[in-house]
Amino acid sequence: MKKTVAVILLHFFFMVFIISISLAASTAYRETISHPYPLPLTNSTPTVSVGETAPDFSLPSISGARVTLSQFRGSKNVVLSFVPAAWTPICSDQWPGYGIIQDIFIQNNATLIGISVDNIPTLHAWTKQMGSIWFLVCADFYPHGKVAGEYGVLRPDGMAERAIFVIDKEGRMRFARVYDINTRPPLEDIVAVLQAIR
Amino acid sequence: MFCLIGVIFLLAPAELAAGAVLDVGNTFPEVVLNVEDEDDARYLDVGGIMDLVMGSKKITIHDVKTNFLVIQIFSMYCPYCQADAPRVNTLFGKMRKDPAINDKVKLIGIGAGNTKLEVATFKNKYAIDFPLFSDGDFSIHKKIGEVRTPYFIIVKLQGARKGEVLYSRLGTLESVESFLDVIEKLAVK
Repeated sequence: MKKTVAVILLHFFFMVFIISISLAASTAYRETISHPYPLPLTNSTPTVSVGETAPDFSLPSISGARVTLSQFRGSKNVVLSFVPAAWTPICSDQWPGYGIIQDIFIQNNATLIGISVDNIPTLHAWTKQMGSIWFLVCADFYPHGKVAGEYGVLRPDGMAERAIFVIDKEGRMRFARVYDINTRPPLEDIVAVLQAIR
Repeated sequence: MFCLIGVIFLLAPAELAAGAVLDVGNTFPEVVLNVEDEDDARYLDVGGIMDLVMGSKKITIHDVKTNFLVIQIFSMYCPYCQADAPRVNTLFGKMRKDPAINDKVKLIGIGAGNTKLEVATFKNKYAIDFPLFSDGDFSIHKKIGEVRTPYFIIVKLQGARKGEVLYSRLGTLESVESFLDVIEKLAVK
């Protein structure tokens, strides 16, 4: 009996060791990132269809100013980028890319608002390590996920879906898509819509 | 107990292989690249310029006429790759200007998970002159062990052990001169 238990324990610790090797094989840039992926897909559906008026909202931003969707009415097209959570792999790969395409938004008279359900301090720390971020970053933290919920992209696990909405200067929805949460939306989608409504 | 042993043997190779594909001494995996630019085709000396009139020319790294190929795995979305882009441009400029290197060593980039537009955006943003290739579906990235970015590899393309990985490193260039030393030692040998 003791010998059997010892053998089982030996195999258990060996298995843990192998798993540890696989985790320790993670590279240097994973040290600050949490790895919840792959996440299960849900059937979130945008509550607003193309052509309808996008729900107005007002959220705190990392700049300290409050951002209201309707403040852009009549002046800029707005791209909303909902991401699930700060300090996670796909999200950490997505917004830094938007950081280098401000010229595309300028050319198309558009602005970008990044939104997650994280709080301001978390978003501030996270976006700081991305380098230069030109776009607005807002916290849909309290009431938790209220705006995400109004857009139909609040998941049962409390995170936002990975979703892109494009709202024109008249406040109408021109594009609404929930993406596979485990993959990054292609840049082509955003550019195609912005060029179509320019 | 046998289930535990089975799990160990199932888990270990898959997990350990992720970092091992590009180990020095291994053979670089067979991957297909789409050349869609005439300047790129000329630089890589892959011929078939007329094929580009109809869209693109599929090549492997072995079609590139050079002794050694430096491959940068990057992503438009990677802030480290963004910060490193000017240094990589400097590296490329020095490679082109150095007669001991220019004919023997070439440089390409592969955008892991990057669509054509994303690669083009990165190329235009940082005024990159060397060929960049799209790997939008991560198929190349999977073959090379799903490395993080930026990642630099030097592959031997002539002589014995063609395709051998001679250099393999995760991380930014940090020092262009140090990397050039590595290249020069390979090219002059």
